[in-house]
Amino acid sequence: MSSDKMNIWILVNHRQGTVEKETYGLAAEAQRLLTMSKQNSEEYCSDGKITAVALGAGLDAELKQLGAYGINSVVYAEGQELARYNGELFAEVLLKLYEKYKPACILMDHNTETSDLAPRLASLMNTSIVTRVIDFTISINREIAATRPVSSGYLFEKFKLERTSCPVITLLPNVLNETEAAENRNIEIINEKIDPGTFNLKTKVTEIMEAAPEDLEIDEAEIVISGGRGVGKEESLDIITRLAKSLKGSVGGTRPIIDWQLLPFERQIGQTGKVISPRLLFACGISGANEYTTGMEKSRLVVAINTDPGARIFKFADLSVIGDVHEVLPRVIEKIEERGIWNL
Amino acid sequence: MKIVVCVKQVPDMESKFVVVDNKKIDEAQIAFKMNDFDEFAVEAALQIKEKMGGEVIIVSAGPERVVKDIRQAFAMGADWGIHIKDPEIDAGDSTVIASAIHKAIEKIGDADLVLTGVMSEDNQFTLTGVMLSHLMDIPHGTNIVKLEVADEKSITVNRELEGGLNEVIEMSLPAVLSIQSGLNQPRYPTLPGIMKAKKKRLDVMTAADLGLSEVGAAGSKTEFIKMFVPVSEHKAEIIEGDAKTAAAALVNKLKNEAKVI
Ligand SMILES: Cc1cc2nc3c(=O)[nH]c(=O)nc-3n(C[C@H](O)[C@H](O)[C@H](O)COP(=O)(O)OP(=O)(O)OC[C@H]3O[C@@H](n4cnc5c(N)ncnc54)[C@H](O)[C@@H]3O)c2cc1C
Repeated sequence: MSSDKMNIWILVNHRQGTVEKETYGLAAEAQRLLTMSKQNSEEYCSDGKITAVALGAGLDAELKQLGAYGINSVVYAEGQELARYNGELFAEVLLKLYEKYKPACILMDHNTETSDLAPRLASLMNTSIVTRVIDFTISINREIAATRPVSSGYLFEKFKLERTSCPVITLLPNVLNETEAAENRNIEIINEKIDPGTFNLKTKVTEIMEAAPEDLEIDEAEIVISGGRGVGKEESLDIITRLAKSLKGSVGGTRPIIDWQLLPFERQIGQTGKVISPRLLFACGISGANEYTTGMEKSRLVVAINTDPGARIFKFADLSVIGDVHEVLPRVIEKIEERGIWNL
Repeated sequence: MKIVVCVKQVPDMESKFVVVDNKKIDEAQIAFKMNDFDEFAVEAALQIKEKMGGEVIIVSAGPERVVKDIRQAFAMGADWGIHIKDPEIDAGDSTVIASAIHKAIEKIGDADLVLTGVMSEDNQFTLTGVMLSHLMDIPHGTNIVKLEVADEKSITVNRELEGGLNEVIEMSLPAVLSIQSGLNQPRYPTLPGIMKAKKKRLDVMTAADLGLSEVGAAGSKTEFIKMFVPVSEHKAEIIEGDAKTAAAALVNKLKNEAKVI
């Protein structure tokens, strides 16, 4: 934290020409950090600011909207080569921008791309990095500390970050709170022309393609949506898959679901299937037979949905909804998608 | 091809996690195993070796207990290994671990390919592979879901992007790849494999042996403060209301109270 003016950078997350909601959540986090440091040290950062940094193409109109979220200015590196994520190139461009503007810290939302980009950038900057952060603070003596979940969320760990440099932090999307847009303020957009040709890239992207539908294995997933006989046969199970998609989770089932061949055997949860302990488990239309519950007891947070108020599964659940999965789940999905929650 | 695979030993996530002195987990209650992602990396290395010839070398940092899983990789078919065994290295952060592995790879010499898991199951930092490639100044790819070695000079890989997309990347060798799960089916060690594993060469190296001066806090950019169990109330809470109300309340609780989505 070398500069006197605390300039917090947030990386704009955008997809297909639209700024993603995580960016607003990052702006709110940056705001919180500024307020906190203002309270903790008066001489410092009396005029801190938030800068959004964007790499992409055709984003002008979208970036102008950011003023409504407390962002003071935007540094925009525009170019067709930057239209799509490229880890090596993005890291080099961000390094150039960092060297020019010397921000106090760089915040990103944690996703498949930033889990690649953030460490690349931190390595180039030779600075400290903490990924998958759920909370961070600036103390009276300006120390930055970050907390993150480890061991499937059973434990949290707290770290202090080196003070001399500009730390890179990725925040788990689930802690990025939605922010309401205020009245749009005029926002300064600084265009940076960076010629990608000047970088000596070591890798070459030759093609972009749809990934094969090989979903995450259930004993590795942090979020698992499981269905039982109560969900029903054939297409009925689609609702489970849809929820898994919108939460970026994996799909599992009870033995009847496997017996009906709606899911392959490696997705069976229980005594004769997989023992899982995800951060979040949905048990939908599942009675909670002991053979099933031995496979999921260690899950951290369990949501059960069942029409029968006396179902055994409710004894293993943290949050229970007594209702029909086909009535509840579509509305859960609707709510999630409306809020644009992405999770890893 | 000379392929180095970095293997980390991690707690089995089914173990009982008890925190001691706000600092560490009580290892007496923990079963340790090879990081799943690394198992895919070992399998990938063995498949390349079977196709192209060469050797597979395991590098793992940690206390005495990690020998079990280095031998596990030997039993799968890896040829030999380096055990980085130094409490001062273990006390460091990802920067120190990456530097130590870098030095070990230099000792091995002429590695064509270095594979790591995309992350460790316990910490999930996703850092070591990237840092390693930076130190080695060679090409790197993360989240690798497919890999094809054409010849000894270059490699084509698929890596995962957001939104269900893959990108196909070409890079020259040597390179570092961080392997995603599901890329292959890791083999089970055979009985003869297990027997042979006991006799395979395993060099033990300390920071001094590796010529690594900055270890522990001195080499780290972050400082571990404490470890703690998050407050969780496993109360069986029933969410009232019709489907619509209950769904909205559920999503709100998951997002804002439990913070799991
Ligand atoms: C040796 C042995 C090993 C076994 N191993 C396993 C194993 O590994 N894993 C496993 O899962 N099972 C295993 N079983 C089977 C196990 O005993 C149970 O039969 C099974 O788990 C029940 O699956 P279920 O909950 O999907 O079905 P059911 O018990 O039939 O429960 C269906 C539930 O859905 C509810 N429901 C119905 N309609 C709806 C609706 N529209 N909306 C919401 N809820 C609804 C019902 O109220 C009911 O509670 C094993 C059995 C044996 C004998």
